[in-house]
Amino acid sequence: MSTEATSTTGADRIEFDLYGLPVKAPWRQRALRLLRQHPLGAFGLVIVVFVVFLAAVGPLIAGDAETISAEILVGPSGEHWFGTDRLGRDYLARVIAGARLSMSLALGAMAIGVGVALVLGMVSAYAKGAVDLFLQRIIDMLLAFPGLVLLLLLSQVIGRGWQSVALGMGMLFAVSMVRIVRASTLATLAESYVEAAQLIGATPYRILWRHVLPNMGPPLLIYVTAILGGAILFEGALSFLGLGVPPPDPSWGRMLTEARTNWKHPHLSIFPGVAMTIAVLGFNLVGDSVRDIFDPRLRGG
Amino acid sequence: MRNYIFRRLMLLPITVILLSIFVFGMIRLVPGSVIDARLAAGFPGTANADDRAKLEAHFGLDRPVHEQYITWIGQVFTGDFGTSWLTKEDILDNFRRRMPVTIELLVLTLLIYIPLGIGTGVWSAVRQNRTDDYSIRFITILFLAIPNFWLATLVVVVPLVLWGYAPPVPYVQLWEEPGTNLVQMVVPAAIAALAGAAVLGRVARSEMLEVLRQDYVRTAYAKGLSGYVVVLRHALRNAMIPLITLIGLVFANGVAGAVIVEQIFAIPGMGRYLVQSLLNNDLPVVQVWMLIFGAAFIMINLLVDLSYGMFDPRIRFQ
Repeated sequence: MSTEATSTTGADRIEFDLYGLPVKAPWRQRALRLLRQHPLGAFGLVIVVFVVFLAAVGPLIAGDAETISAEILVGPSGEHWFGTDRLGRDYLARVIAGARLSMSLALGAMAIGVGVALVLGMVSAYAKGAVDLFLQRIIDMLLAFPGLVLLLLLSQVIGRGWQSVALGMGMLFAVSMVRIVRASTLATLAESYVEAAQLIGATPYRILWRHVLPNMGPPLLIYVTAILGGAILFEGALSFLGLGVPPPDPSWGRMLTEARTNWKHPHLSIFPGVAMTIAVLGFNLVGDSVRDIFDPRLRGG
Repeated sequence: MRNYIFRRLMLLPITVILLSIFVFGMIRLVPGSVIDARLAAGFPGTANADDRAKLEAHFGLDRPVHEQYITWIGQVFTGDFGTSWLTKEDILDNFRRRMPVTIELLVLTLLIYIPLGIGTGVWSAVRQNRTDDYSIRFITILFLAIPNFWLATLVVVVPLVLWGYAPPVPYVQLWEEPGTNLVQMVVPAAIAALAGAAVLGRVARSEMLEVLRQDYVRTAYAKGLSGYVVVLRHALRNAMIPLITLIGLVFANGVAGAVIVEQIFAIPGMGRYLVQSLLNNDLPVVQVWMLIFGAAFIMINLLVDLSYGMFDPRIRFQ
């Protein structure tokens, strides 16, 4: 079993990773190398891991975000680190619950976007002709819209609620990813090994699955990490305008809207804003480094 | 080249027709729920099928969809944008009143956006890997992460809390009191510009770095030209070509920024009109808004595509 596996990949070839280290290098050495070459990316990764960790276990640490108390609009104190809001709910718990919502929406939207883009992009490239032309005209038209405006239109159609926001953002990302998928598919379909596969009678499904899809990794990874920060901002903007996640789900964007009516209590607007900035910053830094690693042509941007 | 322009121009009407079908189709997916909401508001608890049919007939929603589309598109082309469901006002009148406000905001945004973006990008590239470069890049990354609606909120709240200062309200038109109007508009424009300027700055920096490595730049230095002349006259000119492609993005970002800041600063422009109409399910307004702005976005993208060849003679289409 194991000899078979090595003989197909070439037993006498040593594989190197992107840093020129043998793949078998101890992970500690590789992590240090990553830290040295992409300190900002590593910093971003620490932020992302921290935010995702809080989002995952938040309620266990910070308590319930919905518990109402009589202590309304108190500032930060030892008991309530971030103070409380107008219903006396612990603001730290609310901000952490906001992270949970924000992360789930960003990841959900990403999954929807990648799924839809893969199907549309590969179909468009494989079908060619009228289907391709028609799909591309529609994509061109949608791409002309600024993301936020298109998202507002989609939100009107799909409705309110976190599922709708995830769906709307997923559609938005799909629109911008279809081109990447299509270009990558066309490039792979032009390879001679695809022609060979067609000659021995491989089905279109098999060609797309076994040859086209694996080649899609790097461009999609670059794009996906680049948009996650944007996803957090889009969700925030939508909820801030009152067109996103409705109460009582604690969205950072809506918390900022509510903070405007209680402007005499600045802690209400400071904490969600800072949380959002830190989360977006983390994802953007990771995205920049991922792009540098996988696409050296763009290095230093 | 001429063939290419011709083909693109021929495709334009098709794209615009697609756009109108798309916008109309999207909006037509909504009315059921809107009618329900109106019934619930108008006749609490007593709404029946008869009321529903009356309301649908009133808004013209009972006719076949293609008929509705043709009526609508015909009216829009003859300058009849319809009336708002919410305020019963003429939509075209509202566009006439609000468009100049948003255009002023966009112009102010661009006046801040373009010099700031290109200036910081060029400076950063020229001083690559020095303290200025690192600080500019750090600030750029930070401004890409700060939500503009949060920044706008802070800009309103902080002076209010600290000094009890609030910008003059309500909004006044530019031609009535230019001074007051500019005080009201500059801060929103700056906020709408910041994130966009950060994007522009990053692209400008990487383009500039690319160009500064070229042989002709070294030649220009070698023949004794000053740094300013080389950077501004030789390098920047060539770095500008890819930046032209960003004009579409600049405009799109400006409109998206206007949507946010007009809402926060209560500026009665097109962005606020859209958000208010969305919040109130005022579908005729949303429909026309999307059609007009969508057509504008498509047209600007086309102009950008066509301008490549003008700015860079090496580019020959096909």
